[in-house]
Amino acid sequence: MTSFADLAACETDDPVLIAVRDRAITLLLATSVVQELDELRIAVVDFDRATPAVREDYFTPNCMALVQEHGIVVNASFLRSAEIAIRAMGLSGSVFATPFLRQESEMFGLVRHLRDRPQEYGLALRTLASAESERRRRDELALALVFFLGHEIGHLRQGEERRGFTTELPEGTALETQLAAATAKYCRHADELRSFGFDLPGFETVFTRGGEVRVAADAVLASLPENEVINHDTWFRDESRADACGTEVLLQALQAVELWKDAAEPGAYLAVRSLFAVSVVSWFQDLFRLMQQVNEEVDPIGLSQFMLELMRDRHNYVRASSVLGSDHRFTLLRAALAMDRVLQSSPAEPVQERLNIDALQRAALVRLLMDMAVKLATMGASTAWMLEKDKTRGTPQLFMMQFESLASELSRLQRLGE
Amino acid sequence: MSNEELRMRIAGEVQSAELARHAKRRSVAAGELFEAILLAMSAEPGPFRQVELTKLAVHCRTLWFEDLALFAFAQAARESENIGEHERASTLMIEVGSLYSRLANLDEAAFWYQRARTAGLAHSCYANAASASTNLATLAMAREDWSAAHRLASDSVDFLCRQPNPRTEAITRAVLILLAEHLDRPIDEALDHARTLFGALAKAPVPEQVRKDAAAALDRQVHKYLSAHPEVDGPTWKHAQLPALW
Repeated sequence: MTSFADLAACETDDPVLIAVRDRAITLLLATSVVQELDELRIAVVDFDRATPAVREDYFTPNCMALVQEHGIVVNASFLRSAEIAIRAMGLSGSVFATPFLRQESEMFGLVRHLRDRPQEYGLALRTLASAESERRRRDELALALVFFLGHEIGHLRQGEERRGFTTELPEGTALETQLAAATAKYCRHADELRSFGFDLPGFETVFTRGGEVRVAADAVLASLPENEVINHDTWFRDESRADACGTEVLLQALQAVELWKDAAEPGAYLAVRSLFAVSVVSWFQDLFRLMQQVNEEVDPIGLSQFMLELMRDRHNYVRASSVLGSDHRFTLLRAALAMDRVLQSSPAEPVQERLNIDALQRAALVRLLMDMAVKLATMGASTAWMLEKDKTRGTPQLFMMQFESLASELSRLQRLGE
Repeated sequence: MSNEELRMRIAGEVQSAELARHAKRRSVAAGELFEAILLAMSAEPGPFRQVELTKLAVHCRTLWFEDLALFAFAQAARESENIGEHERASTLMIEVGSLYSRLANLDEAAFWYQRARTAGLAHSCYANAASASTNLATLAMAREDWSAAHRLASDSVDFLCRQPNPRTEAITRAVLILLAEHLDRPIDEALDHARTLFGALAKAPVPEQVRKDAAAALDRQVHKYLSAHPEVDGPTWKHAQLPALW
C-alpha cells in the first residue's frame, strides 16, 4: 500500500508544467473556496516514472480527488494534451484564421499529432512561442488547470472519493454495445442539453413523459438494474455540482486583481481561450476515436460517411453513445457553461473590444459545435422506439440525421457577426 | 544515418503525404509531413538540415499545413543563423512573420518581423531589414498607429538606399502614400513617393492592387489639395506633377 507522499518521486520534472502548476496553485490560494479547506495537496504526476504500486493505487487518465488524503492527482500527460491544444489553437489570433477549424480533417490532423507524437509536437509548439506569447499560453494552461482542480475540489468538498475530471474515450476502448446503457446515457444527456436550451425542434415528443418515444425508452431502461440507474443519475449530479465548483474557483481566481496586473492579456479573455481550446480538441479526440472504430479510415469517412453509417445501422447510435460520457456533462456543454459565467462576470480589468469580440466568437462557436451532440442525444434517446417501430413494420426505415460541418458552423458564426 | 539516407526517407514521407492528401486523407498527410520534419531535425546541424527544413517548410506552407510550416521555417531560420547564413536567416524569419500574419496572429507576426529587421541590420542585409520594416509598418497601420507606421516605412526607404530591392521599395512607397493621407502630410510627400512608384518602379513586380490603392489614395489627396487651392488649374498642375500617371 502506497501513500500520497510516494507520488513525490514521480512528480513531473517538466519545467513548463512545474511553472504552470505553481501559477495555478498561486491562483487557487487566492480563492475563498481553497482558503476554506483544511488542507490541499496537489501532485502532477508523470506515471511513466511511477512504480507499479504507485500506478496501481493512484493512476488516473486525467485528474482524481482523494478525500482521505486531502489531495488531487493530475496526470502530467493529460496536462500536456491540454497544453498542446492551447498552443496549437494559440497559433492563430482569430477563430476564422485558425487552420484546425477549417474542416474536420484538420482537427483530426491535430488529434493524430496528439496521439502519435505528443512529446515531439508539444516541443515543436513550445519552440515557436515568443516570450510574450509564452506568458499567455502558460496563463491559459494555468487557468485550465485551475478549472480541472476546482472541479476536483468540488468532489473533495462533497466527500466524493476518487472521482475524475472527465470520462474519456481512451484509445482502443470498446464502444458501447448495450441498447439499455446507451439509452440511459442519451436520455440523461438529451434532458440536460434541453434544459440549457440545446434542443432539436420537431423532436419534442422524445422528451414528453408518457409519450410513445419515452415509453419505449423507459421500457428498455427497465431492463437495467435499478441501482445502476440510480448510481449513474447520482454520479451525474455529483459531477455537475463539481463543475459548478470548478467554475466558481475559476471565477474567483480571475478576480484576484493583484495576480493579473502583469499578465499579457486580461485573465477573463485568456480563460475563454483556454476553455475553448481544451474543450474543442477534447471533443474532436473523442469523435476521432469513435469514427475510427465505426470505420478505420477516419478522414474519408468524415461527417457524411458517419451519417450514412448511423443511417445504415441503428446500432451505430448505441456505439456512438460512448462519446457523450457516462457520468459527466457533455464536454462542450461544460465549457460553454463555464465560458458564459466568465463572460458574464465583471472583469477585474477592462477588456479591449477586439478581445471581447474574439471571446464572444469562441463562446458562440462552442455552442454551435454542440450540434452533433444534441442530434446524437435526441436520436439516441429515440433509438429504442425506432427499433420497436422497425420490428412492428417488419422492415427498417431509413432515417438520416444531417450533422453540420465545421466549415458551415464557421460560416454561420461569420453571418452572426454581420 | 547518412544525409543521403535521410534525404531518401524524407522524400518517402513527403511522397506518402502526397498520396494521402490526394486520397483525401489530410490528417494522415499531416502526420507524415511532421515525421518528415522530425527526420530533417535528426540530421547533424549544418547546411543539409537547413536546406531540408526550408524545402519542407515551403511544401507545408503551399499545402496549408501552417502549424508545420511555422515550425519548419523557424527551425530553418535558427539553423541558418548557426551556420552564418544571415541573409537567408532573415528571409526565413520574414516567412514566419508572414505565416503568422496569415493566421491573424499579429503580435507574433510583429515579433518575427522585428527579429528579421534586427538580424538584417546586424548583418548588413538591408533589403531584408527593409522588407521586415515595411511589414511592421503595415501591422502598425492595422493597429491604427499611423506615426509608428510612418517611421517604420521611412526606415525601409533608408535601408533600401543601401541595398535596393524594387519590389520592397514599390510596396513601401505605396504604404507611404497611404500613410501621407492618414497623417495629412503636405501633398509633396505623397507626390515624391508616387513619382518613384509610377516612374522608376513602374515595372517592379508587385500585385496590381498595390498601385491601384496607392493611386486612389493619391487622387484623394490631390483632390483635397486642389479644393483648398482653387487658383490652381487642376489638369495642368496634375500633368506637370506626375506625367506618368496623369
